[in-house]
Formats: sequence, structure tokens, C-alpha cells
Amino acid sequence: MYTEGIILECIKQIKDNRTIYGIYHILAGKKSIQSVHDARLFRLEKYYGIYQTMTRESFISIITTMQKNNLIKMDKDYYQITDTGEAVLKEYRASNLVTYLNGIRFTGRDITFIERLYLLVQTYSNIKANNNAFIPIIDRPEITSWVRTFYQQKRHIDITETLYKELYQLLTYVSDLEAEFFINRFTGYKYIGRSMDQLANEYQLTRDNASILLIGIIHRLLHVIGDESSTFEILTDVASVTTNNQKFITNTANQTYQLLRDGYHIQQIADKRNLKLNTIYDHIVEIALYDRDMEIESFVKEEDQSEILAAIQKARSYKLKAIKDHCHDSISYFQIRLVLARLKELLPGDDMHD
Amino acid sequence: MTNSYRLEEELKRYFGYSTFRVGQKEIIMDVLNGHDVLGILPTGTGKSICYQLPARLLDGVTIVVSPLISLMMDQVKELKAMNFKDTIAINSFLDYESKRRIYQSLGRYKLLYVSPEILQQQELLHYLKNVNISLFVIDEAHCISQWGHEFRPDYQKLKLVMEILGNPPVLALSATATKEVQDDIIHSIDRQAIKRHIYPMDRHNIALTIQEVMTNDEKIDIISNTLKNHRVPTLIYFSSKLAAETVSFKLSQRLPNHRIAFYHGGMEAVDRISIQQQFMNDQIDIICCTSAFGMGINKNNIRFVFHYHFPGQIESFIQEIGRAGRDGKQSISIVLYAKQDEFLPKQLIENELPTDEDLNRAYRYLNHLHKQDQPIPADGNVVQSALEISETQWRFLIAQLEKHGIKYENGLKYEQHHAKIFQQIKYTRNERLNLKHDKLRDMLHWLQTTNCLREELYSKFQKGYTPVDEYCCSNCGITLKNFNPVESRTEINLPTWEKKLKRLLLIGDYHETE
Repeated sequence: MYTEGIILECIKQIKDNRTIYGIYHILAGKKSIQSVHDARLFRLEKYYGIYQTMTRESFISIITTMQKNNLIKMDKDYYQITDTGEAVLKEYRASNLVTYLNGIRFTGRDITFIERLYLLVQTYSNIKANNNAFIPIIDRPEITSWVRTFYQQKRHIDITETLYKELYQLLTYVSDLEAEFFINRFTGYKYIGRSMDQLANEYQLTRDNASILLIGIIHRLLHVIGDESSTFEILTDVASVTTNNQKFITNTANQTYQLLRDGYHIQQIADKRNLKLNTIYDHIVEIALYDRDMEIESFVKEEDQSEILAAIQKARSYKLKAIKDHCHDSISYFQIRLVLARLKELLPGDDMHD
Repeated sequence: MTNSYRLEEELKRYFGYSTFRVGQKEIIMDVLNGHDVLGILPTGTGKSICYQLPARLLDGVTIVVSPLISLMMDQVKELKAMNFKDTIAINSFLDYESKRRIYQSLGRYKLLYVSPEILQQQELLHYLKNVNISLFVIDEAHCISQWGHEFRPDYQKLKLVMEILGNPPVLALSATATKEVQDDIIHSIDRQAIKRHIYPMDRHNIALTIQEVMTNDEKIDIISNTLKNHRVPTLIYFSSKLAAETVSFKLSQRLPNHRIAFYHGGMEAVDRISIQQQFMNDQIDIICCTSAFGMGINKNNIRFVFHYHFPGQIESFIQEIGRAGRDGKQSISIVLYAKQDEFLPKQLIENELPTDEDLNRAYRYLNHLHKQDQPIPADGNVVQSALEISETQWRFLIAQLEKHGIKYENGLKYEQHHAKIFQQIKYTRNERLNLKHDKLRDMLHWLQTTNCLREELYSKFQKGYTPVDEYCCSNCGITLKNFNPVESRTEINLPTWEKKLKRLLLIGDYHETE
């Protein structure tokens, strides 16, 4: 009932302001300022990016099934919640999961955290059994190389006992059932963890519900670790993630990015960070350069983009001043810089660009 | 030269085995002496040792061309697990950064797995030219031959690749190659002096049985009745992902004491590794799978291989049953044959190659681009979806176009009207279709024969076979009454998460519960 409950919650909040795909983008965590703004605007922050592996097709099939089961009905192009739907929503709201999920804060980090942890536990378990030959349960290079580095840094001390104590302590923050569900997925020496389908089956959940429950538990645990980093020394390391986007961006620009994603306006960010407006502009241009997923539309409208592109071609130059001379006065240097940052996408055949 | 190696000692040292299996030593000796070698060894007899051991012993790099990325990855993972750290797989999934890093230090690897497609890339070839290549291995060499059951056009370009790399010694390996396919392999790589090591592919410890049924329910009855008294490692092959999932659930209800899971290519990577490894570790008894499962799986005690759906060709069938009984102990193959299943492989064949309509559409599309004076889009996916054809259909089309000089690379232009070329492509398509239908007919013929199944199954591949007395085949008469394979051990299901966590990290009294 988790998946249905969450979708019902989203429908209730969004009403007829967005199509049903607006919900899909929030749950799948589409990396656009629009989706993040939507999540903020409709107070659905906790659901942002909680189900990244969901495909559009499977989302549509969930909606169709919900309609067939009479949880929702179509009314003037938008979905309405039926009485049966209200009952499911009520049941969902009473579950632990509601208090666990915190998508906007943990999306992306949740998967990295858990995959590192799976591999870390498998590694220490095997090494403790003097077995250096095992097939890693996670084979993504960014995870394996993190675990390798971590292991090499700590090779002088046996942290297995500490890891155990921390995990034990951590799992007391969720129910016994949830702890068991969580731990069943782990692999150790001569013991391979359950697949998602197997887990779903054992707990008589649909695959979707099992996936969301697991994410919920992870979010709860990440929250606890964040609150008590002194208690969870190892796990704090495991949970600390600099994401791909952040890798290229300076730390200060990254803080701006975080606030931007939290829904703050440029002026608010400048006030909050006690920085000049121009500094924040610099940050945004930097982000636009390195994170292709960031949409610039909210800073420079499409028609203004076209005007700037035309100006670049007229000016035959990338000099800001030259371009600005060919634009209306309303266009700012900041907007021109943003368009320049994205020139390769906006003007693919441009031979002036290297 | 080989005298200086003590091959048994090296085998023990690197792989932990004390003796070679049939054919391995002979092939390895010829390889170490610098000969070109064609090795045909039955599935499940350790083909990969034939190049993995030489790779350890020879100076320089051993290149292994392998058609399947998943197979490549599995082998590299296994080798790394055995502390062969200087092994790597290069495929299109690598990101730019890691590729560049690897290319610049190719010489430090001993064993390099590559896909045939990536070997077409100039950049990789450029770096490979500067490396000392001691051996060029063509795994699944039957992919070279268009008479083979898994023809891969890029395999035919390997001769050229080898020339660019200074013609290093070749080792071509396959588990299923008829005489004409063997000849085709040698012809295609142009190594007439190659040393042939051909070994019989019949497996005397696998009993062959066919049970004809009317309905799918009957299949499930037979499987559950057979397995209810035997909890042993079992594979059940399906031709569709959905059927594998559905039957897996049905069997779980019928066989509550068995641990059953499904496996197919549509699952997420973590889950695929998890299911594979659980099966290896005896935590799962029965796997309902598509043909995606099994390549590179080194489990030696699989006792039953069922075919819920039979494959479209004998070669695939021999490979799939070959996963049973690698420990040499008695194992059973059971084909559940329903007449109405015949349409499944037929449908698969039709979907593999472009129809007349697909080809006409492709022709119009290229013509249209030509008139608009536009190049063919460089991104294959774009063309593929514009033409609404599958990936295998697209691969066929692209290979044919290139064969006729319409270069696709860098989105080159469609030059003139090519109606004639499309006629020829249709002709080739028909040839391939006929070949596939012939292979299906052979399979069906085998399913319906009243002669000894063992004799018939291998007749296309070799003369004769090792006769088997008790467990030969269902046509010679067979009973499973005395078949008592070793049962899988029971997994201890720990009652609480606290105990499970202790077992995971081997804390305190964890072993008392074992």
C-alpha cells in the first residue's frame, strides 16, 4: 500500500495543477529545477527521488491498476481520490514509512550509502574468515574503489567489531521487522543476501512496495546517523557522499546549489550566505557549466536565450560586451554567461565554439 | 620450449587443480609452442583454462575476444576473485576516463577481454599495436561462421584486426562447431596450418529424456513430481522472461521446501549477481531462467536441467544441458515437449531478421535521406527507432549494408539508388532464415525421433559416442527409481535480525548456529 498511498498523497496535494507525470518526475527524482520546485510547492519534498529505478511504463501501469481498483477516478482530465482511495491513504498515513522518507535530503546519497555498506560488510565478513577470494555483490566501479580505499586506510585496525556494534545500535532505531527486512539483503562470508524480488515475496509485498520500504528504512537510518555522528563513526564515513555533480563544483558553489535546490531565490541565498549577489551569479554559471542537468530556463527565458544566440552570431564573438551590445537592455550579463555555458547544446553546429 | 614448464605444477599453483581435463594439456602445449590452435571442447570441460594458464606463463598480453559482455564480466570477476588482478574487460560500458586510463597502460595487463565491436575502434587498435601480444584468443569461435548458430558479423573482421596487430598466434575455441563450421572458422581467419584439437562433445553422465505433454499445467506437474523427492541444484529453461517469473511463483507453491528463484536479463545488476551467487552457494535449489543464465556459471553439481520451452537449435540445447553434471556425476536432462510450443522458436526466428516490409522501409528511409542530401544519423539508436526494428535486426542490416560498401561509420552518405543491393540483402536474409528454419527442423526432428536420443543428438557433430548402459535416454528406456543424488544442505534460517547481523560479521557465537 506504500506506493499507492504515496501517489494518493501526491494527487491530493497537486490537485489539477500538474498532469500525472508531474508526480512521476517527483518520485523518479528528475533533476530539474522545475521538479524540485514542484516538490517544494506542493509540499512533497519527502517523496522527491525515492524511486529512481521506476520506469515511466511501470508508473503508468501502477496508475492504471489504481484506477481499476477504484482508488482514483478520472474527472475532467485529472485524477480524483475515491472513498476507497481515502481509506488506503489513511492506512498509509498511519505507517512508519511516512515519518521515514526524506527524499529531497537523501536522494542519490541513499543508494550510494547502501551499496557501500553492502560491499563493506561483505568485505569485512570474508576477510575475517580469511577468505580473500569472493565475488563482490556490488560491481559499480565508484563503489568498489571507495570500499578499497576505505579498507586500505583502516588496514591497521580491525573495525569489524565496531562496524557490528554501530549497525546493531543503528537498527534499534527501526522496528524489528524493518531491521530484519533490511539485514536480509546483506551478503557475508558464505552467505549471499536476498534479491529484491525474493524479499518482496518473503514479506508478501509487491516489488514496488518492497523497494520503497527499503528506501524509507535507509532514509530513517541516514537521519539517525546524521543526528548522532559521534556514535556512528564508521557509518558517518559510509554515509558521507560528494555526488558526481559536486565533484567538479567548488564547495561554495555547491552550497549555493543546495540552497537553490531547496527552493531559495538568488537574493535569499545571497542574504542567507552573506555574499554579494554577483558571487551567487558566478556560482550559478559554474553549476550550469558542470551540471548539464541543471535547467537554466528559470534564469533566462527561452525567448531571451534565442535573442542571445542571435546576438552571438551577429557579434561573431564570445565577448560579453559585444554580445550585450546586440541585445536588448533587459538582458543581463549573467544571462549571457549562462547561455554561453550551454552553448554547445544550444548551438550544436557552431564552429566558433571549440 | 614446453619442457621448461611443469604444466601440472603451474595448474595447481594458479588454479588449484591437480590434473588437467581432457584436451586441456594438449591444447596448452601447442599454444605455448607458438602454434595456431583450433580447440573444440564440450561445454563444461574448462575451455577457459586453455588460455588463462598460457596467459600466466607467456610474456606479453593475451587478448580474448568474447561475444558476450556479461560472460566477459563474469570471467573477469572470477579471475579477480582468484587474485588475477592484471585482468580487465574492455567494452562499450566503460566511461571515457577509465578507458583512457586503461588504454595508456595496456601493457601491464596479462589478460585482456574485449568485445568484437570494440576491436573495430581505431583508438584501441592504435594502443594495442604498441603492446607485445603473445596470444590472440577467439572464444565462441563459431560466431565467425554464418553457418554457425550464433553468427556475429564483427567476428568476420577479426582477420583484419589480427593483421593490424602483426598476426599473433591464434587460439580459436568453441564448444559446438560442426565440421563445416570448423572449416569456415579456419577459412575466415586464414590459418590453414592450424592445429586441430577436436574432442567428442557427448556427455556420458547426462541422461537425455523427453516427455511429451499437452498443456503447461502438465509440465508443472512433472517438474514438481520429479523434484519433490530430490532437493538438488536444478535449472529450468524458458524462452520468455514472463514465463520464467510466473512458473517460478507457481512452483514455489507446489514445492514449499525448495528454494526457488527466477533469473533473466531484465533484472537489475545487483539482483542478478545476488541470484547467481545464491545458486552457487546452495542457497537456491531451482532457478527458472532464460538463456541469459548459465554462461560462465561454474557450478559443478547441477543435477537436473529442464526445458520448459525447447530452444530453436540443437547447438543451444547441447550448451544448456552441458551445465549439468560438471562434477562427472549422474545428471538428467528433461525436455517438456508440447507440440504447440513450436511457434515460439519460429516467432523468435522471424523477430531476429528484418522482414520484407522492414527492408522496404529501410530502403525508402535511405532514399529519402539521399534526396534531402542528408547523411545517415551517426547514432544507430536513432535509425533503429526510425525504422522500428529490433537490435538484432539492426545489426543484421548494418552488417549487410557495410558488406555492400554503404559505410555507416561517421554517418556517411547514401550515395546512389541501391535497389539492387536491397535485393541482395533480401536474398541473404532468406538464406539466413532458411538456415535457422533448418536448425529448428533438426531440433524438432530430434524431439520426435524414436531412435536413441544420444546417438541422434550428436550425430551432426561427431562420429559415434560413448555408449551408456543404465541412464542413456528415454527412448532406450530409463527409470529414475535408483537415482539418488546428494541433497542440498539446509540453510539455517536464523530467527532474529540480531543473530543474522552476528552471522554476517562473524561475531562471537555465530558458528554455534551452523
